[in-house]
Amino acid sequence: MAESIAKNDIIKKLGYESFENIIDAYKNNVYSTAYGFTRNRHDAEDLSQEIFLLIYQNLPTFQFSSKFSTWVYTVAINRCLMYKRKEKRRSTIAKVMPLTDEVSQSYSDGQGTETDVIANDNKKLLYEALHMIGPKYSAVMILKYMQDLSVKEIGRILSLPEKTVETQLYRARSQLKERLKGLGYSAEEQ
Amino acid sequence: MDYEKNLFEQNKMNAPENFSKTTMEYILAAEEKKNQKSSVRIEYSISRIGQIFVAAAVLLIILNIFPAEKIVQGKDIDIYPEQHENIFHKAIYGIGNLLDEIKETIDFNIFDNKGENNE
Repeated sequence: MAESIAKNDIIKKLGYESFENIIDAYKNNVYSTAYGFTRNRHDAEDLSQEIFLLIYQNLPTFQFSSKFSTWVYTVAINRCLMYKRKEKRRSTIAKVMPLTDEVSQSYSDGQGTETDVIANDNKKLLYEALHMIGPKYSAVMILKYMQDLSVKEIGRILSLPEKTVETQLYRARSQLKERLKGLGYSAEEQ
Repeated sequence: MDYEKNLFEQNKMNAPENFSKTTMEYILAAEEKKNQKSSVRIEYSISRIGQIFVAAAVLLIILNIFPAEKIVQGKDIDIYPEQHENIFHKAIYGIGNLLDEIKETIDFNIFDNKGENNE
């Protein structure tokens, strides 16, 4: 009870009427971030919901020492990186223990439908390229160009020195360009 | 605007329709589940504490760690406490008496048998 009062106080202090307003304000950015790591609408939606749940549950820990948006993206990116780690483990298990025909069929169907629908879409190509450069580089690219954060803020979110963030951004940019070129995405298409 | 900024701006994904509403429902359901879990956990803890108390009480009674003290009023002497006999002492005495009785019975039977044989 006291916890929910504290949450409501923070929501009001942040200038929102309810938590639903916060979701409204950040849903596209959080969803895009999640999609950048999942490349699947259904998983991105689930992951975004989990991120908002984490934000809601941890609201009392927000200290107002940083911008609320930075805190939201910190929660989002950490949850997404955790998702990638779990996905890596899942794929390792899948390699060791191949799925049964029925399960693998339904699994590939889920992804295949998604791929078929937006196969030639630039969006799909960008997210595919982000997946190819790996979570470390895609995290800095998403935070920098999708969430429009400064190098300092990215460093704080990822617990990295600014110099390291700059180096990672430089490498990520060149790798992304290469991958996009390889996938057939050109600047002229924009 | 630089190339990457433009790239990400153009390809930004939009959350599905009703996302806020469904997410809010998801959060409320998760919170309710969490509350239920914590109340179940409290109930479980209380029952566990109860079980521990009962077990401890039974153990204390068996081991007689805190023996009751009987106040004995002596003749021309001060009130002094006399400790109850430990339950183990009682058991040992009991077993000892039982063994004596058994011994006597066996001896008696042997004697009886001898007598029968003699006849």
